[in-house]
Amino acid sequence: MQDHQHQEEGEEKEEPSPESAFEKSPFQLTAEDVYDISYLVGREILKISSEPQGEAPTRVAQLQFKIVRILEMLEALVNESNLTVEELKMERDNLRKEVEGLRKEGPPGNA
Amino acid sequence: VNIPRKEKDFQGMLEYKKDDEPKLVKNLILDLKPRGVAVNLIPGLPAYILFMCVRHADYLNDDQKVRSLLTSTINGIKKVLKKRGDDFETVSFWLSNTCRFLHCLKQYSGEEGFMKHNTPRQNEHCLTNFDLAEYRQVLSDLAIQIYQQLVRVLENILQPMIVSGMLEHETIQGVSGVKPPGLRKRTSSIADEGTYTLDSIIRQLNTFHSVMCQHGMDPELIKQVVKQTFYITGAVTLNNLLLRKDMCSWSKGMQIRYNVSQLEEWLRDKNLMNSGAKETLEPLIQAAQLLQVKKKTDEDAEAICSMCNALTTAQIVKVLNLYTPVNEFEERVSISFIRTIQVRLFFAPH
Repeated sequence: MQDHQHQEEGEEKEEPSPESAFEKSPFQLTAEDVYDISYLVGREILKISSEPQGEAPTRVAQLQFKIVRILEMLEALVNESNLTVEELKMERDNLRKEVEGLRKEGPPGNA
Repeated sequence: VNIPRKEKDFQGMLEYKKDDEPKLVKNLILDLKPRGVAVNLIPGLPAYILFMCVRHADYLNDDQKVRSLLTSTINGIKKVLKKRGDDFETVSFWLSNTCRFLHCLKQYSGEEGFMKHNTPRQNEHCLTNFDLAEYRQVLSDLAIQIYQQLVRVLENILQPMIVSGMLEHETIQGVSGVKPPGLRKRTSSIADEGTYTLDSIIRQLNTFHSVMCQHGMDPELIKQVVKQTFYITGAVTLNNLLLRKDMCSWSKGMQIRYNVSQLEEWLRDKNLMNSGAKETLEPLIQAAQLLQVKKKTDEDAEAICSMCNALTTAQIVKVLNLYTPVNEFEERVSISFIRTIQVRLFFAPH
C-alpha cells in the first residue's frame, strides 16, 4: 500500500520494486532500469536451470550468456542516448540564450 | 567483464598469464561496479570467475600461482572496502561475493562433508592438488569483518531516522489530544519537511533488503542482517524512551505499538518472520504496553511484573517514574505503586 503511494507521488528516487522497470517507456529507461531487468531475468533463468532436466541446464546457460550480451547492448544504448539527449539539450539552451541576448542588446535596423 | 562462452567441452576453468594477475584483480575486484548487467543477471559472478581461476592454477599444480591469486584476491577485497567502505551497496556486494567464494572453496574442496548436494558433474570439478582449508579460514575471518562493516554502515544510515520516525512523528492523529509539542530536533541538519517518518524507515529497510537480494546474499545471512537492523531500531527507540519525559505517555505507547506492528507487517511481507527480528523488539513492545496499562492497584502491579519479563527492574521503574499523563483521564503514577513494583521484583526477579 504505502509503497504504491510513494511511487505515485514520485518523490523518491529509489523504487521499492525492480519490477517497475518493465512498465517504463523505453525512452525513459535508465541504466539502473536495465540492471533491475537484468536481475529479474536472471532470477527466472536460475529457476529454470535449477530444475534437473537433462540437457536443459546447458542450453539455458547458453541462452543466459546471450541475454547478458543483449542487456549489455541495451545498457550501452540507453547510456549513449541519454548522453546525446543531454548534450543536445545543453546546446539548444545555449543557443536559445544567445538568441535572446542578441535580441535584447541590439534592436535590428527595421524595428 | 568478459563472459566466457560456454561450450560442451569446457571444463569450467579459467586460465590467465601470471603477469596479468594485477589486471585480473583490477577488473574483477577493484574497478568492478556492484551494479551492472552481468553481476545482476548472475549474482556472485566475480566469485565464480575467481574460483574458476583457482581451479586452473590447481590443475596446473602451481602452488605459487594459487597462493599469489588468493592473496591478491583477499587484498583486493580489503582495498575496495577501505576505499568505498561507507557505501552500503559496495559492502553488501563484497560480503555476498566473499561468502560465495568461500562456499565454492568448500563445495569443490573434495572433502566429502561438503559434497552432499553436488551433482556428479560438480564433483568432477573439485580441486585435486591443494588443500585450501587455511585460506578458507582467512576468508571466513574476512567475511566476519565485512559483516561488521555492513552493520556499521547500516547503523549510520538508520540512526538519524529512528527517534524521529518511531517516537516523534505522529502516525495516529488526535490521540495525544495536544498538538505535537515543539519537538526537539535531534537531527538539526534536517529541515522541517525533511523530518523522518515511519515510512522513511520502512523505505530504508526495503532498500537494504532489495540490495542484498540483488547481490544474491545467502538467505540466512539476510535474516541475520535484518535481525540486527531491528535490534538497532528497538534499542535506540527504547533508550530514548528511558531518557525523555515527553515520550512516556499513554498515547506514545499507542504510537509505538502501531509502529511496531507496521515493522512486523514488513517482516511478514518479506517472509522474514522466522529471522528472530521480531523478538528483538520485545523489550520495546513491553515498554509500550507498560505505558498503556493501568497503574494503580495491587493487581495492576502484579500484572505489570508478569508482563514485563524482557525489561529489567531499573527499566520498569524508570518508565513509571517518567510517566506523564497527557490528558484528564490519566493520573500520575503514585510513589507507593512504584514501591510495590520494586518490592515485588526484588523478591521475585525475572
